[in-house]
Amino acid sequence: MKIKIKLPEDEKEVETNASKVNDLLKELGINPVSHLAILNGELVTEDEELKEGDELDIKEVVSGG
Amino acid sequence: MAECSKCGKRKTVINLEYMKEEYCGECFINLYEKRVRKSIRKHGMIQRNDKIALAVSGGKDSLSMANVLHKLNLDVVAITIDEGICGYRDNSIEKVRNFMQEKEIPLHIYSFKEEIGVTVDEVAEEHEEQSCSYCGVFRRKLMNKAARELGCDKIATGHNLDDEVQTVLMNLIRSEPQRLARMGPVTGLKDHGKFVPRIKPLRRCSEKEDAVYALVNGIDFDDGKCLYINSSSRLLTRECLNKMELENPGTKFSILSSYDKMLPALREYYRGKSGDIGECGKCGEPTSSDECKACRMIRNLI
Repeated sequence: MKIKIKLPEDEKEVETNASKVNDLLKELGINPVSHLAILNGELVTEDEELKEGDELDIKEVVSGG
Repeated sequence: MAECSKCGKRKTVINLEYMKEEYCGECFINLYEKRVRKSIRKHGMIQRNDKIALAVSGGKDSLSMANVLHKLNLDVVAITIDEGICGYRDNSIEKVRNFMQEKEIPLHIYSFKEEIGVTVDEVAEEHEEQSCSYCGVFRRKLMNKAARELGCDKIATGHNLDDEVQTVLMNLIRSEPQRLARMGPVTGLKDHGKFVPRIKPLRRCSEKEDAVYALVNGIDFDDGKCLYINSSSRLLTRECLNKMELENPGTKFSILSSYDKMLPALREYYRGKSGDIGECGKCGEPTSSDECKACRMIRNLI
């Protein structure tokens, strides 16, 4: 299925077999400890299921400095 | 849809792996605020009638800290330091202004340019690699001076679990155990009339938890990164710790708890070894030598 993802430095559409947010983060090599997942505008946990056409915004939670 | 481990009803927003639980927004707010109150109580961070300076930058950590302390009905004022980082601090100051206006908390802004005589942008022109060190020293000096001028007894900062554990590890790696003695939930080895102790109410909340708390509370925070953050050696430590936390949830708490157990012995040992705190011959701020570190750094810049 196709998922539109927005990363801190990039925005793209990916083809994936990941069924959950966590699986997709693993595919992308993103650590959930330091990232938030916002699925279709709503804050979700990594256990949230994905479906065709979802929009996933992945935000890094690094402190500003 | 995952259900909240606490209420069993609402949709979850955060997975707390170290507890093997998932929380909804409402239950998470309660958990977070309870944890902050417990930290304050456990470490005696705030005494009755204390006036607290909230050190706020406009980011998720400091605004979450300000939100919890405001809810505790304490006597608070907010202090923001404008370091002079073009394209970064301007945005976050706006967020601070809006938040403080809504909560009716008095806000005082102090700038490096006016008080120290130099901006971080100017420092970075010649010393970009050390800009974080200069900024940290100048910021602590100015924050202390501002809090004292405003009659505050404590300075509350937004330092979170990640910040604390990173600093513990960095001090171990650099072989600077005396610095471990000076940090902690309430900073400072020795008292001085001009020194305002800093407290860290969020030291048991991770940076992700701070972000989630801010989001579920609808706090409009600045999520920009400082332009000079790449020069910080903290990034590698942070990445290693996050990898360890992913593999072994609870690692950060374990490190902090171990540090807390060692802290009384460290303080006792280094209190005997450190000199008395006097005043800087140039600016009058508290220091353990004739000239404070900030004045020394300014001298090196000229």
